Amino acid sequence: MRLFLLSAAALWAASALAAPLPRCETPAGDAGVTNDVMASTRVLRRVVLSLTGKTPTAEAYEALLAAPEAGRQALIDKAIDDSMKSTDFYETMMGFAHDWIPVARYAVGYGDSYQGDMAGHIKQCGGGSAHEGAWALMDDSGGAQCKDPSVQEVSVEPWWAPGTTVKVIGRAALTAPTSVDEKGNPIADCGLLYGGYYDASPSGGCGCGPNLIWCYQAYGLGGAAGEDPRFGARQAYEEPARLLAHLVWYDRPLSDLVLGNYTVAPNSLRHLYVRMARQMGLKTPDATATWWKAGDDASPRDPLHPMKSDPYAWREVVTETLNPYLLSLAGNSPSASDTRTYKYDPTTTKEAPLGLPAAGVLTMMGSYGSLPRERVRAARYLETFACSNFAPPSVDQTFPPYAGDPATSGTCMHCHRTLDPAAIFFKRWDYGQRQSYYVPWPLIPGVGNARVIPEMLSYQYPYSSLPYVRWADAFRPNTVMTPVTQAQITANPEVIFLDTMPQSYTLLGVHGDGTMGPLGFGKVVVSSGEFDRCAARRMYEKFVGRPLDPASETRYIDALAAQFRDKNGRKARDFIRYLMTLPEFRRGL
Amino acid sequence: MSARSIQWGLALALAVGAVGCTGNIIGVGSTTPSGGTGAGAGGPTCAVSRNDEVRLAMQGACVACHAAGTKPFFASLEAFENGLVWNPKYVTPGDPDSSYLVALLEGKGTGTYPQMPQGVTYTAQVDAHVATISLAEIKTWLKELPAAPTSAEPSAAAFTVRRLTAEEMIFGLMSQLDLSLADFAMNPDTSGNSGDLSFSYDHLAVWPVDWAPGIRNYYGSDSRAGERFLALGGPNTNFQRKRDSTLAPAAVGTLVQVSQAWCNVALQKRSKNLLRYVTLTDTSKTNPSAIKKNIGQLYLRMLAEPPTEADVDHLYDDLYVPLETSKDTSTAWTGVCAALVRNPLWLTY
Repeated sequence: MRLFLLSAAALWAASALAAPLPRCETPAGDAGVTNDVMASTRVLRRVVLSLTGKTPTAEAYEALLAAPEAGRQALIDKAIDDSMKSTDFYETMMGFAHDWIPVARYAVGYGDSYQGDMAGHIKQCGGGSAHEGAWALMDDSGGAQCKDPSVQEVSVEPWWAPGTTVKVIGRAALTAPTSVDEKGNPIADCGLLYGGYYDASPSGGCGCGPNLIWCYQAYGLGGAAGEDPRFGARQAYEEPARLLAHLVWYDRPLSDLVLGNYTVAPNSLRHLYVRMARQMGLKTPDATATWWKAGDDASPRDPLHPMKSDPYAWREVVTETLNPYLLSLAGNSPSASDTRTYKYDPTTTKEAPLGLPAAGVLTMMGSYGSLPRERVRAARYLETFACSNFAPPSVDQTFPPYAGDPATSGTCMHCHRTLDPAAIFFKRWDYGQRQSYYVPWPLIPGVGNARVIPEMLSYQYPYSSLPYVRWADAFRPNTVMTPVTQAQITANPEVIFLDTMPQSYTLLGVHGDGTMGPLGFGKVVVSSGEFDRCAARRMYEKFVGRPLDPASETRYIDALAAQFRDKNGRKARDFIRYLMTLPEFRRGL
Repeated sequence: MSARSIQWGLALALAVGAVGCTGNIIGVGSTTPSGGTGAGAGGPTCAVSRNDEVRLAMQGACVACHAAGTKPFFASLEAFENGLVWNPKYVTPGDPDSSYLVALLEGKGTGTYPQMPQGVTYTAQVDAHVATISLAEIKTWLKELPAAPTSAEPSAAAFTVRRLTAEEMIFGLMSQLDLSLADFAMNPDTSGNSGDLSFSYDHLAVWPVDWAPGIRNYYGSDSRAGERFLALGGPNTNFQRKRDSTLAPAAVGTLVQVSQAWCNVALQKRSKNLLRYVTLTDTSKTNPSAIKKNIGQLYLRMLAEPPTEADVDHLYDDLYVPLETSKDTSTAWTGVCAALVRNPLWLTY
């Protein structure tokens, strides 16, 4: 670099300016440059530490010291191979992912869902009761049925523990798809529940359905559910990190994080996805469902749960097979092809879209729950997957006066000029109190039974609460984020959820391909090259040990991104191996 | 100053929490823009090259938005050249009419940002003397601009050494001392699915609260263990608490306590990782050579570098012997072990 600057200075034959600036003194030579190449034993430590979180054994150091100088690199290369085969490597990648992808606990904010379920709550009858250990609906468990020996016990293979049976009593054991309520009114779908104060419950004469799929083995506030790995809330938080670790472990391109139609999930998290679709009105065949049968599942799974029948194994699954509103666009096969596309324009039709194209982390329930609004999602995902940095403007920067759209006027436009075109992709996910007042459940506006009618934008009861008033407030016509007219909203209120970036917009310097929703965003991030640059920076920082400066080292970042994309196929293992060959990897104490 | 020669001086600095000086150690998240001359409060005074001259002349109109953020083109001369001048997306050397930079300055860009600067034309900024190079002069500069260099290297000056993360500290130390969860937890559940760990009070357990990055298939709900983990820098991503990448005084203080406690736990179980060539009955009077040999192997195991004779003598004469004389061999080995944990070679990546 220094040599090049000197040569550039030699080319400074004439000034570019009419009134040239004086030339600076050129700093001298190599004084102060330190030989900071680490010993081979230190390099070995860095390899093992960065890949496994542990340090090498004494024997490994001694073997390295005993080896001839020419043979030491082979030992270090073997340590890289061995470390990458270790389950510690998978866990290290999970930690790396948690640092990289800012998805926090699921039960936070308005996306609150306690245990992470959308189902009827059941509880075991207590000790000393006539049916100790048997499962019953909340309104039965502490009451007469647990105490009444004449109540029949039924053995059921529960979705959360395939291959085992549990005892169930009372209404919980019912499996009929339809029923009548206490007043004799028909119930068309027993799988569609309405929440209680804390605990949701099947309606009237309905039960927990086949294999208890309409219910969840928890009750009340579930305060520890966000930490306990058995619960859906905890699993929704882990899902992005698990997917990244899975992609690394199975040598998949990291761009599948934002382009893939698949995820990884154990049974509780699968249940959460399944229940969301059911609560959005979709009647899936619960009696023949196989999503919970871990023992029959040959899909790739995490290395920490090798037992085939383990329901806690993080097993790969095409998301649409759990929630059909998260579109695969490639059948039942895992795919992250850029040919996956689904276009939907609510300004030209009043038909509902089929759903949202699945897009890896971007359409995960935990991601949506952790980042509860479209602009927040846009900002965090631009930071996460494009390494964008939304610094505030300097005090002497001037902007046009605010005129109703933060993307085109006022100080806010400093960031919103970029944010709002991105926020378009993330509008279509919210939380509603219609089915569960105390614990609002997620929904995809305009899809399934979550269609939008004009009254919902009126601020009038019963639409004077969230999410309706927020829709009316946030999605203003003739703005960058909601590029529709008032006349179009009047004709069809669902146009406010237009979630395709118009062709006249650019984001990260490129146009979208017309794909709706988060997948459209994922495609922009990848096609712009920013995903590759960002992934290369993240991994460089993790493994080489320092962040690259996007200001002064941008060309080097470009070179690393090209290496990652073109030579390593966006596969983390290969890129990490490359990083470990760099001279900088060997610099240190 | 060689890297090795600063180690013990840095150890002293770390002990009082003064980090980021002699050894150029910074936190993971810290960056320091580098390069080029800049405009101070009194404006630009000199340029090191023609590109620098153009940068300084343009920056009045551009630096407010482009000193930091996603496109920090005006943060330094290096940033200007790497991000803008040699970026084919914006500049075609020798051909100003094909350079998107010119289109932006003329308000003829496409997409979300058709004009730079936003809200006011570049020409108006020149007329107001905010920028001191005209569009015509920029075009002339672009026309005469040589081709971009083909090589791209990291900035040699930007190199830093980071501290170990909290996870690397605790898992690294556990592996070095041959400690496992069984040495800390009263109820280790090996199922891996519901291991809600309770830790013994007297072993100074440290454990991630959030199971990030995985905690060997366990999670711990013991608040004291979690608080110590956060004191070491965390993070707790489950609760949106980010990692502290500095070596804060709380981290150093916690590590001192943890290192002494854990080294003692390892001694109590007679860890072979710690006592490879000696037993606790060996003393400086009965078997000094074995003690020095053991110090040497411990040094290699924990610092990943074979010690010099002076390194071993220093630990033996100034630490082991005084502690053994005043207390006992157990205290002496705890002292040696804990001192190695506080060595910069241990603390840094």
